[in-house]
Amino acid sequence: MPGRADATPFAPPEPGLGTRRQPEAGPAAMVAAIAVEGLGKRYPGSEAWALRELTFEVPRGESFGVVGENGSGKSTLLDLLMGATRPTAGRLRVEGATASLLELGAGFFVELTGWQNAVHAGLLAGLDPAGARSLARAAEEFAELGDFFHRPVRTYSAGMIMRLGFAVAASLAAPIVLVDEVLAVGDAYFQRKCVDRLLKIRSEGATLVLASHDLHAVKSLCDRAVWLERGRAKVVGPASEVVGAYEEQVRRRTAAESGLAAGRRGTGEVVIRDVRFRDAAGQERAEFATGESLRVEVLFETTRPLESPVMGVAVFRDDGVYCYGPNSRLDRRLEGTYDGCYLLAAEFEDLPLLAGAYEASVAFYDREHVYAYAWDHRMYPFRVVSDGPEHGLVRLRHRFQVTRVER
Amino acid sequence: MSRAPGWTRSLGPLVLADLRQRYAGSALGGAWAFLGPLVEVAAYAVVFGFLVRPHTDHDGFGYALFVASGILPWAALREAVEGSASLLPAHRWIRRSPVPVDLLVARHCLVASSRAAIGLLVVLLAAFLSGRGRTGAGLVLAAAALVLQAVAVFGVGLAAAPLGTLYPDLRPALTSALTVLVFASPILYPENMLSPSIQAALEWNPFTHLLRLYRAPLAVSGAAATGLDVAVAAAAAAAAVAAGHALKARLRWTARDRL
Repeated sequence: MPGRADATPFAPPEPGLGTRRQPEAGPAAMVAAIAVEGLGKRYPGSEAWALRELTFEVPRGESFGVVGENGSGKSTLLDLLMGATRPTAGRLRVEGATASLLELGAGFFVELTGWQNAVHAGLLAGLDPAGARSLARAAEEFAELGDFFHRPVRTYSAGMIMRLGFAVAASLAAPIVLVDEVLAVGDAYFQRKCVDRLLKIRSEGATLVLASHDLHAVKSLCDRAVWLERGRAKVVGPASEVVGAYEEQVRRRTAAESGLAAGRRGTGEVVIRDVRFRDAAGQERAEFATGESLRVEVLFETTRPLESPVMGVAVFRDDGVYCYGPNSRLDRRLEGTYDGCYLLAAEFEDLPLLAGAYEASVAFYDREHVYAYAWDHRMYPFRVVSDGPEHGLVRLRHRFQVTRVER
Repeated sequence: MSRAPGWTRSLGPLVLADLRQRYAGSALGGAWAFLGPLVEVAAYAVVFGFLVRPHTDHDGFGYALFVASGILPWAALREAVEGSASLLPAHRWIRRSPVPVDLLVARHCLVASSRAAIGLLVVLLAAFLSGRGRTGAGLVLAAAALVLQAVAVFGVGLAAAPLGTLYPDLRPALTSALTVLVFASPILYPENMLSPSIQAALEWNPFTHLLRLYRAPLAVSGAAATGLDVAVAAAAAAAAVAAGHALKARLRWTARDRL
């Protein structure tokens, strides 16, 4: 029986009837497990499109992540892949049976026990009774629910239902596994267990589609990903890039909604005319590498003589994390009377910042550091690039070593 | 002949679990499945035996049996059809699961039919104890009626499930329609009390034929059950299933999206 492959009108196979399909060898193995072209979904009675013009392919054996805010269309996409609903526009092709964990408790009858529900799931997937019982045994072992496995599901907590659901879905050994945001319900131990099982499923050649707010899980488990925003694909590509782009936007939005807003402030005794970034050779740039020298030049003018103003240049990450903020008062430098136009240079040698987007603040305060003559808060953006994968905010010089210790 | 769908194997445990769940926690438990119809038959016997004497061929108790043998299957039909119309909104999780609507409808209808079967068993018991029971073909016909009604309401339920989701007005409309059915079927009155033209009109009501089958093992007045009644009931059941499947196929995606 072929996978679902139709332009609209869409006619997937009846849910619940077994459609287990073995992946073909040879050139057919290169066929995408999931192919989506111009996919769109609009629910009846709604003007808005839940998904619009979505196009991507997931080769067999690949893991594909789906990230985005609530309401971005992640669940709708997984519903379409599972066959729970039909596209309104575009094409969708899913080659093979799917095992899905889309909603906590979906498909479970609370009057039945965990065992009975597992057998039922196997029967629905097209297994014979012996196969369904074998599935139930595997699920029982994985779920680690103890005696509860033989009690009605209505006695389960949400975490236990998730254990049962994941155990059943993982035990079905379907060629395509769909998981939608339910892993977070489980405890840390079982979440880890689920991730390990998903890695195993992936290593066995199954195709995995994971929609999750756990961006670390998406980066760890997925080869590629799509970032959905208001139903459209904002970015499709390698999972680390897609997640990185999404994280950056989240950070910017968080920063914009909390804390001090970027902008110009001050009493006006100092006027900041210009701010530029230069490298060690004096070249003006907007992007620097980790470890390079960064020189911030500030052209400023006083409107009256000022006695030892405190001058400072601070660096923030674009989500508002305060990285570092030196000033002349702390350094006990640049004291004197200032009356006229000047160029302040703050040089950061061997820049330890890791790759990302940053913003510089420039401020001039009175001698006692009480009120600001001029303060341009996070108004000067620049970028840092790193030459290798590193995690965190700054590069700290470090060294690993192991020595044997006698017990 | 194609293999039965996998979901049919789950029906038995689901129906049993549902029946257990209905009486879970009560002291008498499953005995209520028998006590309920027993009390109903007793109530009819008291009302029609002592309080209201209907002008029929029956004595009071006979009339009680006559009414009970019609009202209990009708109640099961109402429970199955009305419940099916509310099934999908009550089980929204189905939208994101591989469980087919057919399973939910079949379970619901079978549970209703099981209760009808138990109720009829009580009526038969009362009939035999009072010397108004008939053995033989009558029992087979009554059993056939139970099966045919279960099949028919399954078909109606398949259509009612998506329709009730898309058109919520259907649910109260069904209640009214099924109430009308009580009077448009020979449940409360024997057919021989009606004019020939109305008797002829009743022939178009499939439930009339089912009622004759249900009353076949009872020594109560009314039109005798014939092979034609079986044929009409079977045809109606088959038509209901075919129409139900067709409507379900046509409406299920829209109904799922509406959930």
